[in-house]
Amino acid sequence: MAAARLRKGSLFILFILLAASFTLNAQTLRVGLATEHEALDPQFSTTGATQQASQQIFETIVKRDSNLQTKPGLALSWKMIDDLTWEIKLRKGVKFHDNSDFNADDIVFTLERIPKVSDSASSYKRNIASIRETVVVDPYTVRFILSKPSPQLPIDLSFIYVISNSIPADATTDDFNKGKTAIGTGPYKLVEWVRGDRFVVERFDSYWGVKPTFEKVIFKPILNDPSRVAALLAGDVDIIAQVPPVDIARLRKESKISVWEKASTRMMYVHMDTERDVTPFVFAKDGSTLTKNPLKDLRVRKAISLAINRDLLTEKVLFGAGEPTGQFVSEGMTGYIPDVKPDPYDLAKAKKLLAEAGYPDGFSMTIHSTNDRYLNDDQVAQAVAQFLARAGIDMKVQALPGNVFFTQATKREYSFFQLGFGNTTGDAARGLTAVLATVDKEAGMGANNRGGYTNPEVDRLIKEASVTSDEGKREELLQKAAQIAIVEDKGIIPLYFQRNLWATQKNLKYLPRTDEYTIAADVVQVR
Amino acid sequence: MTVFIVRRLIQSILLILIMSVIVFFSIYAIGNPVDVLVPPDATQAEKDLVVKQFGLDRPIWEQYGRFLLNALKGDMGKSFRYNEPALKLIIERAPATLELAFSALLITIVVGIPLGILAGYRPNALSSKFIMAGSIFGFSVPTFWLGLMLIMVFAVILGWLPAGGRGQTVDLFGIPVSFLTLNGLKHLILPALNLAAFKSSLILRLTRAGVREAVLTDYVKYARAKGISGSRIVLVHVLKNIMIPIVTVLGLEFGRTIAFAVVTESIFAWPGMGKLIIDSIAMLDRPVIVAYLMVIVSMFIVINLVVDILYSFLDPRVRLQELRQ
Repeated sequence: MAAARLRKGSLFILFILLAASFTLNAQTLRVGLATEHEALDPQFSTTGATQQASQQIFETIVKRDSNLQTKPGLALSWKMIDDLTWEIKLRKGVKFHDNSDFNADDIVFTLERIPKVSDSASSYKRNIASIRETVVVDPYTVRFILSKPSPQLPIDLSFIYVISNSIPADATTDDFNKGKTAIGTGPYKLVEWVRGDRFVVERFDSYWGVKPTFEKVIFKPILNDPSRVAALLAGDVDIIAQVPPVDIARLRKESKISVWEKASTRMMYVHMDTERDVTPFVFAKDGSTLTKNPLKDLRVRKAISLAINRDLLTEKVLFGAGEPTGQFVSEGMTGYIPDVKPDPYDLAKAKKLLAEAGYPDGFSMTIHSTNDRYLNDDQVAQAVAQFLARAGIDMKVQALPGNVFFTQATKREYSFFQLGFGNTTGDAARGLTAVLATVDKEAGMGANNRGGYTNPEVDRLIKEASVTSDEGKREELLQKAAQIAIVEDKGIIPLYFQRNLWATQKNLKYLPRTDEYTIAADVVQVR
Repeated sequence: MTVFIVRRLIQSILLILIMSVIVFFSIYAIGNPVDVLVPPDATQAEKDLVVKQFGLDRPIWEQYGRFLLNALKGDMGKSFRYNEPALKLIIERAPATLELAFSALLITIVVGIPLGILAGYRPNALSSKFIMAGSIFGFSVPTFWLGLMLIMVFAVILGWLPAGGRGQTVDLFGIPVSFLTLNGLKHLILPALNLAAFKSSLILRLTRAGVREAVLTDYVKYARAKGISGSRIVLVHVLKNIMIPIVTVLGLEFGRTIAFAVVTESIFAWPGMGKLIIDSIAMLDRPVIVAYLMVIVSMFIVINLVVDILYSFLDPRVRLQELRQ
């Protein structure tokens, strides 16, 4: 009798425990990430990994949707009063995680701290560079006085994560990392961060916007690709970011897994030395040096673009994790040209162009690429080399770790090399300025122009766009610059946009984004 | 003994110094950290600022001199990437790696030595043949493949154990350890097994060879003639005599596990030092790389010292003074 009661009692306890663990699981989201943030200080580093963490706890002044288009966030609206003045209306009733109220003073405090954050390799200073002064009109209205016209201001403001002015003005990055000052207005508040192991946040109940589905979120850095996939399959995590291309097909077949995807802003391209007469890695077929650099000839560059079969490349080498392109930015972004399609694969025409340029038998060159920075980067380089070999160009492939590659590429030690550019701002201006404008250190132009492309008309268009406030006109200028530099001059040869891929358990749904962030608040339950 | 240790210390300092020169200058030769660290669309002015900030605009010998001066004060520099003291980043992660290494070492000893004795004592028994075949598997299978297979079988298919990560930790003397919680233990099993597979096989074979050689020696024959039981002969007399090479290898392997467990750590998402060093090399985070290698070199020196001292306990014929040369 007593024993039976005991058994019943323990059964009951077991049931309670089971129920408790079930509800706990239902409320907790476990995320497997491919990167880990460097800091919890939202003003320390602009790297994707760090912003991804900031996105959970903090909010930017202007928000961006999954297509990178600006939308109201802490700022309800923004308008340009004159060329040098912008007025921002702030949202009322927003609370920080310490329950203090958000208002204009927090914006001033936030902007004041950015230049004070020390020893960062990728500072946010550039995003506030055009702001000369911040004027508080009333607690919910701020005016930014600019030093030069900046039509990009709303985009720049979408990188500014607002911190609370209740924290000390001299708060260090370390204070944020320890959690003392990591106080934002975001949908989640910080619980703990154990570097290399886990980053835990919990739902902020006084959040002004739509409350997220999950009460608690645990982010785990699982850097190794197969392990991240295994963790998802084993049910250790509910969602993983950056699904490795080889596993896409397999995960699609799994009945308990869903895959979510979207073209990213990362444009992969081939860059060429189009400036020097003698370039280090291009030779005649017999190995002798050429007095003329074939890559300077537009016909050769056109031939190269036509010889690459982008569809095959993205389908076979990337297993579908790429979208062929012939432009710098993807559809929906400012500067995209609707009627420019990726160059078609046309080997006959490529050979003809090479012959016309005086290389009927081709020449020989080396393609350099990274082997640890982009999706299947070294395999893509090998495929590109094979395509060009078919057109008669003898190719060698040299894939190097990024830390060696970028140093040498910047020193202009390569002739023909493949890399990527992330258009994080959602428009073409920054990319065109960095990659295709004539190198001019003083003016901050051409910082990534490792091929030496130069065209005064393109420079003029880019410069004009940077001070044009009218959206339509600006778009037109950027399109024109891209048309000349890429479509006509082939200053670079775009290959494809990388695709962002997430995989979740079947009962979850994720809103895939153009940027690579995995935003916990965007994960919802299907049933 | 004191003379021996002092001499060792002096050698060690010299070694660490040479190591720091090699590492410092070779990283300088690999590439410019700024090209990797700054955002791809940074302007030249932004790049120049970063170069200045990290003191990379100074000549390399001046950078090294400055590093050395600070290192003498115990400051190994701040990470370029995290803006935190390099040593702190390493020490933060050391407990996880050490725990993993000790677990692997324990499995190695518990599995490798007894099986090795068994296989060596009755080399022709069927069980011995099985053990030997198993050990060939153990040291010829690549770590990364075995790790993935362990995950596939125990986590994905059977669902018994988690696929990776470090479980719940509790503080033991202020150090977070995971082997004291059930959840932590579950997380520890697979990576520890993965690391121990190769080492157990190595120790097993080493033990077997030692035992086979020792059972033919005169002192064993004499012991047998005296009528001492087989188990006592092996466990007391033989084992003592074959321990020296085993301890040497265990020591070296233990050091290797701590320093280069990176494959296992990354497959099992184990938050140890290995992952930190690989990331740091990819980002050319020089202060962390230099500090890490200095820590590792010091650790090897300590391990070897301990091994040498252990010798003298295991074999009274060995005197530490003799090891000096």
